[in-house]
Amino acid sequence: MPDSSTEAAGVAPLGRQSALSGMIRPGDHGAADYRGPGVTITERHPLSMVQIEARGPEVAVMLEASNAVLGLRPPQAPNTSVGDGHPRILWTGPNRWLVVEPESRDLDTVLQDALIPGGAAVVDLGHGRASLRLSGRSVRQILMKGAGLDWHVRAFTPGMCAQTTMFHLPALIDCRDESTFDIYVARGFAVSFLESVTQAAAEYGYRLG
Amino acid sequence: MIFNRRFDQPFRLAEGGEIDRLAPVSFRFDGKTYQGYLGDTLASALLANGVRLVGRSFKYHRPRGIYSAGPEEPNALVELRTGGRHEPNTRATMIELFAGLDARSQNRWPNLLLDVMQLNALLSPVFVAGFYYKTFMGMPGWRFYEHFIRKAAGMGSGTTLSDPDSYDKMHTHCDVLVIGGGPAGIAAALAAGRSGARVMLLEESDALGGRLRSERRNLNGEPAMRWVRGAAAALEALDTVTVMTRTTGFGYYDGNVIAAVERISDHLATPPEHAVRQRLWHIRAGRVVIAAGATERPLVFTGNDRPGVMLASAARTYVNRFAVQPGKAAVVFANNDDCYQTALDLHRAGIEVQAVVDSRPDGHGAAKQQAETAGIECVTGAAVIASHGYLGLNSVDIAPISADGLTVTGPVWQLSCDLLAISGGWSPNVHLHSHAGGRPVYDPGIAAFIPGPSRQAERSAGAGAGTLGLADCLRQGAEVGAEAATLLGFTPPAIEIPTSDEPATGPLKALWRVPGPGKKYVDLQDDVTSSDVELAHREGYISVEHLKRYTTLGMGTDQGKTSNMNGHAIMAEERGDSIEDVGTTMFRPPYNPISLGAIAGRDIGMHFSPTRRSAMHDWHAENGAVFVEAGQWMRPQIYRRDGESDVKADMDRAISREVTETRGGVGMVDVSTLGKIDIQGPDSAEFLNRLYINGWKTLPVGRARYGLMLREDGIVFDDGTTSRVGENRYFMTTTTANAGPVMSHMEEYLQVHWPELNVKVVSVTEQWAAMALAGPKSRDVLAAAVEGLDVSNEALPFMGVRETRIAGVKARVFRISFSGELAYEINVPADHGRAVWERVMAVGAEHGIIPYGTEAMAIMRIEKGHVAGGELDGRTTADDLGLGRMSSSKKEYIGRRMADREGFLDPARPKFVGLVPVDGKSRARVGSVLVADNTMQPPVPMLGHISSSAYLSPTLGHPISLGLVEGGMSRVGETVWAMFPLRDEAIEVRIVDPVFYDKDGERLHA
Repeated sequence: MPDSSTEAAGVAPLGRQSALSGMIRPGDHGAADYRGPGVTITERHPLSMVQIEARGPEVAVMLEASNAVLGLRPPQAPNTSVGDGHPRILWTGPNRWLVVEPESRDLDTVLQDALIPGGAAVVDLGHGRASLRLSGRSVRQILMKGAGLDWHVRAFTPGMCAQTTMFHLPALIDCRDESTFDIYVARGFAVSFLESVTQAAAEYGYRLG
Repeated sequence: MIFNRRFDQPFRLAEGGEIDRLAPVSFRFDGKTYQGYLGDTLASALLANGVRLVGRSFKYHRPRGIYSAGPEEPNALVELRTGGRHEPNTRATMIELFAGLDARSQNRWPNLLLDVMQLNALLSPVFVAGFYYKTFMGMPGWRFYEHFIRKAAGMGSGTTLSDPDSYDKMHTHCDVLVIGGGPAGIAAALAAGRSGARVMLLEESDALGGRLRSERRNLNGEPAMRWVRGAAAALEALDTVTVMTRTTGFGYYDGNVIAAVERISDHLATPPEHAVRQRLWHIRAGRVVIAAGATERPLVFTGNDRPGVMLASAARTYVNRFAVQPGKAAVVFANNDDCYQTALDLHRAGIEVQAVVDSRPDGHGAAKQQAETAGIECVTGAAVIASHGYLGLNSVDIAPISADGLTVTGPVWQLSCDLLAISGGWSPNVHLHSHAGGRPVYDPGIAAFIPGPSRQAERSAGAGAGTLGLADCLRQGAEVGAEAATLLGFTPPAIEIPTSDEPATGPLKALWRVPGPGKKYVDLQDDVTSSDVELAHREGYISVEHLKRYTTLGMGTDQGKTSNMNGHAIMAEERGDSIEDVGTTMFRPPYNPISLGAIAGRDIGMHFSPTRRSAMHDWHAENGAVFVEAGQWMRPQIYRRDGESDVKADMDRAISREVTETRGGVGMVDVSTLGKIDIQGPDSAEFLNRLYINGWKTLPVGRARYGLMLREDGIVFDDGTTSRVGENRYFMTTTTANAGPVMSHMEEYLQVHWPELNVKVVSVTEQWAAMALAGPKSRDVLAAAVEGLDVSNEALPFMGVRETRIAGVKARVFRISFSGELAYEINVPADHGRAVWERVMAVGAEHGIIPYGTEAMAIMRIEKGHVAGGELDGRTTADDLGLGRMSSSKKEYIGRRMADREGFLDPARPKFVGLVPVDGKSRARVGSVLVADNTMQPPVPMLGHISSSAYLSPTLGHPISLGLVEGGMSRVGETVWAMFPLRDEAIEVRIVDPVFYDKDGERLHA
């Protein structure tokens, strides 16, 4: 949602309230390990998240326009992601991508202006997802507890993303580097998901921050 | 040594074994304290202390002792731990000893030595297979007897306390999964692992080695365990290989999925903080090598269940691995060469071996000579035909038998002994192969079933494949492991197979029943005797499946590991057929008992299913909400005020208050859970036209319309409003329950059936927080909340949609109503949901705004006669619900053709009506069946049912219901009866118009 335009309109900006507000107790929890916590869990908020989608001949137009406005071409290969995070573009279905970045501009409007003329659909999902970043040496163990995909370092490599069921709820999982994953879940499940992740991480020790 | 002086372990050898003599631990069994060592099992520690009687049998309450040293144990089942960690039916042979272990024997009263129910044994001639059912079933009072019969025939009892420990689940993938860490499994893992393939090796016990841990055997001229340790280190060094001990692969499922349980903390008194007790693994493997080993069979002779009778392999395990003497004076009885090795091992452990009794007249291998050289008396062509002793073995009867094993051919002599080690040969553990769809085939060479052709990507190796020699196991393990890797595209290097010193063995000669009178146990856990098998045959239960169910053979928690082969072979003898023709029963998972905790994992309590919260959840909680689960969503059911509790009277008061104050003033309800779908693209209107039964092409921008959609079969699927928010952009809402199914339905039609439509859909349910503001004062509240929007009836008419701002946040306002009041739905991006909700509550305060919950919402919609989940139940048509007139005749839509089926047009179909109790006060329950008269005798024709019920309409002052009844609105004014037989309820109800409130919609359009 266009918080930046809200500011421009001169109305006192209303801060976005995360689905996890009050749920993250910063510090080390669970088992203590001399190597430090097995995983660090951080909430990524506020994020801009916009889904872009096109059909048929619109697709090529949209890819070009995306490249022009974002400086990044959406990846063609299924279940892959590109970008350093400003933005990151994740393939989420045939001719369908999720553009994600820390909120700094009205990404929805930016993309609407750039892509709608070419026939693409642009949908703001920035408030509809919560995102956790999991990193550390035990991160793949936690993924193994939650989801049935092959999380081996050989099999799930940086730049791969997947939509699957994790701890019984739908999740989009993006491998940022060998031991860092960004996970997106529906906003309403955020608290339940955080509880499941921290339960799973307790035996390795985890840091919330 | 100092400990040995303080705590006598009279049967512990002075040296040897894998136990840690520097780590003595004390434990309790039946309230008495003993001592063992780390490295012991409960069974070995009990034997070290001379405890031979450990349980009473299932049916006859016979005294029973430790019979095996592994998962096949049929007798030594104990209750382990106390309190919430109490676990019944735990095999003493599988429990690793830990300090403070507390175990109790089962199925005895008042105690093991004096078990009252052993009277059953005196009556055993009448307690044959099928006795209880033949005698008591059908007799009056069966339920009364059943209670005592179940109590008498028993296993341990469970606990009702909750388990304080946590259990876990994990998924993993590998190229080659090797199940079993004995010599074949180790060789397979080495061969596959060195190819670079991702290999997992599962071992049920605490360390690799399998039978090598229990045998005195050399490999490459050194003790075999030295080779095992070298191999374990080599596997450890391969970063693609994972070795998991204390892990049992217990189930083999379709798609090469193997379930395994890892016992992480079972060997500890309590799990360390944050550690889990057990972990359930789902392993997806490219190929599976089953190296599950074999189980030794007992011999079936009179009194073969007496404490002191033990499998020969177990006797070797106790002396070699645990340095425990399972007795002081032994007789060894077998139909194969195992007896000689056993005798040598027992002899070496200082046990006086009275005799080796070999049922074969000849054909023995080289070990017999070794035994005789050691001075052990070896008798061939003879059998142990009976055992003696009260609570434990004190002597056996031995007699020569005929070559066919059917008759005693000479005089009986008696030998004193307190240990009888028996071996009837080895049965490969074909369970996992059988789970995978394989059908085991009979191998007369070892008189056992071996794996047949594989149905999945698996192959057995080693003893589990019927390969019983050590050198052969190693060779086959390496071969099968290499083959698995090769089939997956890896190139395994050749591995070196160590040389074994095992002596040449002679062939086994099957002896399924030893001649002689009396009880000969086939299945010790279920007290099934050879005569039960014979009885089953006489009564016609001659297939192994019928035999199993009639006698309970193999139905215990051990799944017949020691009994199936003997039982099936005896049936074959009775039938006069070959064992091949009689066959074997199949196996189902789990191979070994699995705790329910491991299966449940962390999916317990509120995490049985994930919980979904709206953006306003915390506000609700802070303001007295009592939550109710709506699918996975948590929704406020009511809001309590100070002093109110969860009791029904308070709940009822809150519900009525919320309805009354909303209808009289203004209320707000959280409707974020409604499904929301964003629809874009030039063909959106056409798509909606095909989805809904009503027309969409004329809907202007800024307007909403109610829509109804059908399933393909013509039954009503879902309803909701869809708004046109842009030239080619629509915003659909669905019911909470159907948010997912409607989205899937739309995706399927766009992707599969109508790819030519240029429409893009995405669920935005979670993007928007939604609140419905209802009541005559709702316009005043809205006007105060919005920034720069005219909300007058003219500017924002019924079904109008506008974009605006509330608290500086972009918002959508829809003038739609579920309650029947003047009402608005406000949607804002979810991260602003709580702030906007609070803003509306704040500006509404002067108008007396209240929050209301799902109960008040439901009552108001029933009062208004709106259909909802109770009516959209997957059985109703649009006509049934009085919505048939919405259907457009000018277009095609999903379900239209099937909606014209004859049965759907039947005028007798129940139709939507309202119902009120004739007495003005009785509450008719949802699900009540409507019938013509409460005095009718079955079969009573059903006229319909009650689909929704308000136990009290605060607006009308009496209960109201919605339902479907034959004849529908043509019966208005008639009375029928609402029957709920489960609660013995019969309420006379009058059929009325389903719209109880504001029939003309004046409030809605005000």
